[in-house]
Amino acid sequence: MSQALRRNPSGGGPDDAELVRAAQGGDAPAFTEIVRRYQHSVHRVAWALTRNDGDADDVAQETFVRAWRALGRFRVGEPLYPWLARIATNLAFSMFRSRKRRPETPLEPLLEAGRQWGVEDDPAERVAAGERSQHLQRAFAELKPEHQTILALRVVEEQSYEAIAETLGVPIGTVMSRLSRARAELKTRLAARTGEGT
Amino acid sequence: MTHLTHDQLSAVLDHALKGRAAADAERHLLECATCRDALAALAAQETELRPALTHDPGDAYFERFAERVEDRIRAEAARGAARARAPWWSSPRALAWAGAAAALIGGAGLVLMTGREVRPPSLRDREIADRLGQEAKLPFATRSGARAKSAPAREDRLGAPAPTAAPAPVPAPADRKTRATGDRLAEPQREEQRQFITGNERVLARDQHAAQPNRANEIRTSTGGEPVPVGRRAGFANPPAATAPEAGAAAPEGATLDRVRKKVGPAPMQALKDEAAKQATSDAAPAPVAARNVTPAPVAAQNAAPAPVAAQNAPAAPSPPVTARREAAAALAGGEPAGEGRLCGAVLDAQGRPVAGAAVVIDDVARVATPDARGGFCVNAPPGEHPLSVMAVGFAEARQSVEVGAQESSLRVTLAAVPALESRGPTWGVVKSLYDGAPPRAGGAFSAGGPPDPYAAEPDSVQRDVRLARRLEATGTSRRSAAMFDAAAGRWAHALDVVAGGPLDLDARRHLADARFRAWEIAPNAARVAAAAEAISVYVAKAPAGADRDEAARRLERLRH
Repeated sequence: MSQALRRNPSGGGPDDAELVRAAQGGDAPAFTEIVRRYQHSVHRVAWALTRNDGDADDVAQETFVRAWRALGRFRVGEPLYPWLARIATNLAFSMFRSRKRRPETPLEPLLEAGRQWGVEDDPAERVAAGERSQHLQRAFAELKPEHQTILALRVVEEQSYEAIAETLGVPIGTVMSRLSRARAELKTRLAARTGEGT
Repeated sequence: MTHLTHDQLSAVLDHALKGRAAADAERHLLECATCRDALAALAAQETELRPALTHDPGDAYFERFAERVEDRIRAEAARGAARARAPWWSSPRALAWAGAAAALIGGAGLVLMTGREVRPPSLRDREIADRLGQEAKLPFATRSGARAKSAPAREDRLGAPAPTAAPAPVPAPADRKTRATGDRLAEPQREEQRQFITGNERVLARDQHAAQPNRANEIRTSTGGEPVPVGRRAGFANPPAATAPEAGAAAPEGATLDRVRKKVGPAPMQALKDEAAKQATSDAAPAPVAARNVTPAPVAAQNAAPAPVAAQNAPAAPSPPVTARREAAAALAGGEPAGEGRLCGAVLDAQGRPVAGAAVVIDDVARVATPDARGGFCVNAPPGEHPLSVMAVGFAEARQSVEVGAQESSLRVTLAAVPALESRGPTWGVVKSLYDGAPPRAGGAFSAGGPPDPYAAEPDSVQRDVRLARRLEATGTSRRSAAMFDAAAGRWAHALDVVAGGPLDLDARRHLADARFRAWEIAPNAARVAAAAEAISVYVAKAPAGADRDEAARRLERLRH
């Protein structure tokens, strides 16, 4: 990283605006720092939307490649994450459009740490939890892309309404109503799958 | 009492209500049990949803993430620079545009030339003019409306006087005969005449169809979205009929395989195999099976660095029923699973993490399985001792002897990582500085030295597939193993899913066709003939003229004879 970069007063390294300015000026390691800073968040959004390791990896990588290409047009001072999250969500859904299919049936949640074979937990409980998780993911996959996106940003990334509004480029009132509709739709679809009353 | 709306409940859940709205909602919730229950249900759904949408790939994944992004950017930059250096006609897209422009100009010229009205000289032949005049007075029973409309204009051009009441057509040869017998033609005769004309048209259409060039090089798009050649000889183009029903019959859930069949349709076997494998893994459930010892066998990696591969006791080895994949592989290998033993297991790395995407091959009977995301696999084989190979990108190949009994056997294979395989050769290794200081605004961004790997700018999943496919091909060549080439073809087909339609489309298809053909060459069976013929036909249809296409065409001929 260039010496010109000042450290963030909070001790967390240079702030985003400085990194962006440096990267725009040709300081490539500054961009690497941006990647490192946001790789987890971008991957989380990518995985929530694709629910597939390979696709999430592709989307996350491509997000940063596109960000690098468009960095010259990025306005210094704007928050970076909403911009990156928007690129990631657009990429995820354009990938599915081009493939003309939705994400694969997800498997990975069942493989979370501590849930691999040989772990001594209750098999019946594990199976029930796995089934419920699969139902949820399938119900989620049936939602409209805009509903999937807003739920991923709110539930997985725990973004505020303001941040979501910025990411999606919609008013806060729209965020509120869209989230509500997405949750209601998910509940209906989940109930249809599990046979529970709505 | 007015209950809270769903919007309000949703906002309460997110603490998004402010001021008086928040206070009102809180007060209502204290009094209303219904709304409290609704809020609790919403909160419970949220709690369940979070883990369902979250997956942590681990620190190891993120350690090299930024580096991989840099590789991608650098490879793209190199590709862009190569494109900029190349003359415009070396770009297929530019050529296509130029061709389209030329066709447009040519077409416009043709229209201008043929569309211009040319007035021919007036007819001086009195006899012809008289005949035309007589024809104008004759009502004609079988005249069509279109002819009637076109006739005056034509007569006008010929210089004959235009009829005042009934415009006369220029009769067709068949019509002349009718007119000679009188102007009132009986209805049955007219019907017969129409049939005669229609019959002639049919013959003409049939002849035209027969005269069409061989359609072997045409392609259509299957329901699965994959290009499929048309006009092929029966027996080559169709996927093996036995594959789908077998897979469906043996699948853990009939509905799952039905879904697979619906998605894939009657098309390529590879698509069926891949889809079946993906679907089957979703229904996989761990099943306790008898564990047995297997002897580890040290193996040599491609870079000649020996790497020990430990196969251990597997007290709780997973055995997800990857039936569909096994059946599809068995179909390729021409094997019959009935009456055979089954070997299930897991492929793990040294840390005990599953190695997804490896290739498990029983060499002597040419059976192949691909472990799922949990690393679990199952493969059928005749009872007895067999040599087993397990390969994965970034790991040393594991080879060992396994015994398949009448009962289901289980083993766990631990693959040793080979760090040397991660290095990407001198082309990439020489780049020390990741960015070389090229700013995004400078137009080029990252720069790189040397010719880039054609797949370097592709997503990691593609690069993994390609690397493994190449390894499988190398091993298949050295051991003359058709199963290895089958597995390699599977990898190329997988990579093709992503690169199809892009600049590497043709390259991936060539490799896929090559792997299919070589599998057939080593151990021919009906399934391999069909798979190879299909892959080669598609390649031939898309490839430009040249040595590669000629060779592919020769191979196609060999398959057909």
